[in-house]
Amino acid sequence: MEGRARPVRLPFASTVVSQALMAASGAGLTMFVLLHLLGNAAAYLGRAAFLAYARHLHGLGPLLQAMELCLLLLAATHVVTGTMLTLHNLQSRPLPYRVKAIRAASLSSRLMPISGPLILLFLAAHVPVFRRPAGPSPELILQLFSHPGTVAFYLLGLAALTSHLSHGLWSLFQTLGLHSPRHDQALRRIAAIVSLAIGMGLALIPLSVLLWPGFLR
Amino acid sequence: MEKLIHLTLRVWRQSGPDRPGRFHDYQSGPVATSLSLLELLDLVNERLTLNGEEPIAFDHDCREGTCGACGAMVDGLAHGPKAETTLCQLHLRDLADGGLVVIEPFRAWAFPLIKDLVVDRSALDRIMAAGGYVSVDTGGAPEANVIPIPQPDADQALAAASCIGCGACVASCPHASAMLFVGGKVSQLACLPQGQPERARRVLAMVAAADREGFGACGNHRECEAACPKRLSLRHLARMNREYLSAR
Ligand code: SF4
Ligand code: FES
Repeated sequence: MEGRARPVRLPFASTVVSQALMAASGAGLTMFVLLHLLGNAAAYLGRAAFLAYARHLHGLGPLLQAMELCLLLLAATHVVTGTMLTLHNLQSRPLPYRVKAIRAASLSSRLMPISGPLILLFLAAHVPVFRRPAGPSPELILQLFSHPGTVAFYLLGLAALTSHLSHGLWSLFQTLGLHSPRHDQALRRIAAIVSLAIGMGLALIPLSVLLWPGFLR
Repeated sequence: MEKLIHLTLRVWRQSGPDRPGRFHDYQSGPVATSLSLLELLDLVNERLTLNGEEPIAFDHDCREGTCGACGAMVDGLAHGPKAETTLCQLHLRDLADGGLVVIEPFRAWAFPLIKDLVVDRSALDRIMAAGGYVSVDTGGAPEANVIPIPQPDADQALAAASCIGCGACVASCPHASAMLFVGGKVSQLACLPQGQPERARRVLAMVAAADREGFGACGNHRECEAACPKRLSLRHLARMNREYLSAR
């Protein structure tokens, strides 16, 4: 129909390209989260091992900066494309249903536009605290997570991450055309398990500080 | 004796595209459960007409679940609560006695409302026109089995081809995306030898057409698959994504 031009321009070449960008950047970001989780494990080898890990990481110099730049690009792609897609999708049904029931969509899939911004909010608080020239010191970690409020904030952020990943990790295969009914159930289960493992794994450090007096000391 | 039930129909009434719409309640009176919901609407319409009121406009044609003309949201579900069923095949026995049944039109930016429950789904036709065909003059019907097609491919093509173009996938999708509809046709023709020459052009053109029409982007919520009366599998949508990304 003429005269019904949509105010939001389609992101990039097409919706399918935008979805693929979301999937690819999301996969890259998940890789980083897995690396992060691996790095966190150093804290459980004792204070000395953690200090050595931090020193080693910051000794990487330009390599570390390159990785940071990559990460920033991935995150920017994910956030910008995601925001445009969300606006586009909101406009695809300007008048919502008065009554709408759900047949198949999971809670995590429907929460994507909420869990995404929550993660961003969390990162806006988390990254500036830990991204410092000297690297993360055990003292900083101990001081930060001795406040139950901070730990609660982290748990909330990680819950959002878990929810986001449990849909995203399955969804990206479908978007990239790698889905088949034969592997569907297994893929969904793996996505749920991996996202839960990531969320709980990352929650371990704040919880350890709060509940385990000998940790990192 | 046939079972009788009583329903309250809460139907969306809107006299035209730019007019305000609102729900209106109609009492069914005692009606046989063997009636289809559309037949109940027929009854209500007869009563309305006799009273000099405007009957409820709704789309329908074959009334046997094959043409794709019917469609509305019943209690928030495209084509109603019964799985793998078109609206015309929804019977009163599938609904709870004494209950309230909310009937609302399919809603999407790309499906502008015409009247009451009737929406303009010609956007789907324009997507088809963009590439959902094979452009060769076939002449008379060819000999069967001249072109051998492996059975698994034929099965998948047939399953994808069972789409009746009803638009329930769009209506049920939280993003009003038409990608299951597009995926069905792309997948069907990508599985068959006849579809090969235009394979890349087709998927690019059909996706571009769907975007142009203002359908949303797929968020993999899987509502379309669950609402589709022909149960088109998400695998067709995945194949479409694969086709699209390799065509670019
Ligand atoms: S894919 Fe299914 S729901 Fe969508 S138009 Fe075709 S038959 Fe209807
Ligand atoms: S009227 Fe033809 S499918 Fe329902």
